[in-house]
Amino acid sequence: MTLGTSAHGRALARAFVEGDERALEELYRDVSSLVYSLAARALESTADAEDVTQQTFVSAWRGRASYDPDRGDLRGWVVSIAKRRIADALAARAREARREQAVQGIHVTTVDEHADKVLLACEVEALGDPRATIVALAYYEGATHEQIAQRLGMPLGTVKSHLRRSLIELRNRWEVSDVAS
Amino acid sequence: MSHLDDDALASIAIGDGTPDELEHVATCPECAAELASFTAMTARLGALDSEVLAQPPAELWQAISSDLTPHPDSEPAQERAVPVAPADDLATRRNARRARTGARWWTLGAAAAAGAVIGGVGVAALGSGDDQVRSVLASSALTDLATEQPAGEATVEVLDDGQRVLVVDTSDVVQRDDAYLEVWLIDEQIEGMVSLGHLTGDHTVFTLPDGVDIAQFPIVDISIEPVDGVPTHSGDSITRGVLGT
Repeated sequence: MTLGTSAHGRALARAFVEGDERALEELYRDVSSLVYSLAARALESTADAEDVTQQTFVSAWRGRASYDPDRGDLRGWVVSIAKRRIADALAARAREARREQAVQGIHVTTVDEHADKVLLACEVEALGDPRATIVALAYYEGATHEQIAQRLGMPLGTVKSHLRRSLIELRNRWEVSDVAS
Repeated sequence: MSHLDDDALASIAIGDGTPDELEHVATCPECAAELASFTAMTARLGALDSEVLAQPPAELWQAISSDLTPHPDSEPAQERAVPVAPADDLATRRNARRARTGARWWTLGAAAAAGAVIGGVGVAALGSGDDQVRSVLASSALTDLATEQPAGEATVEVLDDGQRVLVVDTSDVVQRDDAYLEVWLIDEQIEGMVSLGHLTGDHTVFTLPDGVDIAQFPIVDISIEPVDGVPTHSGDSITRGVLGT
């Protein structure tokens, strides 16, 4: 995940707005896992998640003129489109079920809950290895620092140092994205 | 002892704090608050698992890229829209608000109507089939009238049950305590208007009454309405766009 405020991210955003399809392709490589995961979790259907992912990128492309690079990062913008498409899909289901009001209320919260988890998982991925692996072992799997050191054949001090740096980076990025959203 | 730096705080968060550091953080509210942001992060991480991120199937990109070439009659709205709806100047609007007369609509909207930037129109099918196909009847970029900056997008869509809705996506409208935001469709003469309801967030969907013709009321207008019980438009428009017909 290299988007955001980096120089590369800004250049990509400009190319995207100007209609460069390669920029869309790069954006897709970068964000499709996030969008698809969000949709799959919220909709609990891989077929619907594929539809939403497709709709999201097609909408983003067609609506690229309305994206303002100065106002926030491209990834966040795509995620906001995805959330709307997910909400639309949930609302369509709810209409079918003829209990729109009740269901919509429940699902709006659910989309955001999933969003936080998926976004954070993306940030962890973006740490790159070995940090992403170390964080996953420590927090997803609950491995001790010693177990991690052993499994990765890495000195204990190095594992701890990676964990500290990862936490600092994740916390800083998370605060930035909280402010932006 | 001076305040703890991030490395020390992260040390504590991973269970490695020294007695000195732990003692400091127990007595220093500032550092305790910083530490809380680290422990909140470890709690969030602890709630994740390796299944959270999934990859879409490889063929999905092919489906998307083949969907990008626009059909002649479903040209993407924004490509034709120049996202600058003319803005009336602030002073005019303030005066208009004071006056609250019918005539204000001319001053308010003359520019918008005269130099109307027509948003894209046409029927663009969104989605890939199934039951989620929706049609976009018209759309328009929204413009902040004070800054002339893009302020989002308004789209008229037909849902799969035939209901028409106006979807207003605007992220930069500030909700105020002493007033609310109302969304209107206004005719080009700035004489007739239809209130669609209150803007409650950055994505609000308004159901269009069946009799309302968007060709007749093409101007999408967001106004600040003081909570004064007066049901008419305050004259204090902040955002506008023009739907094509």
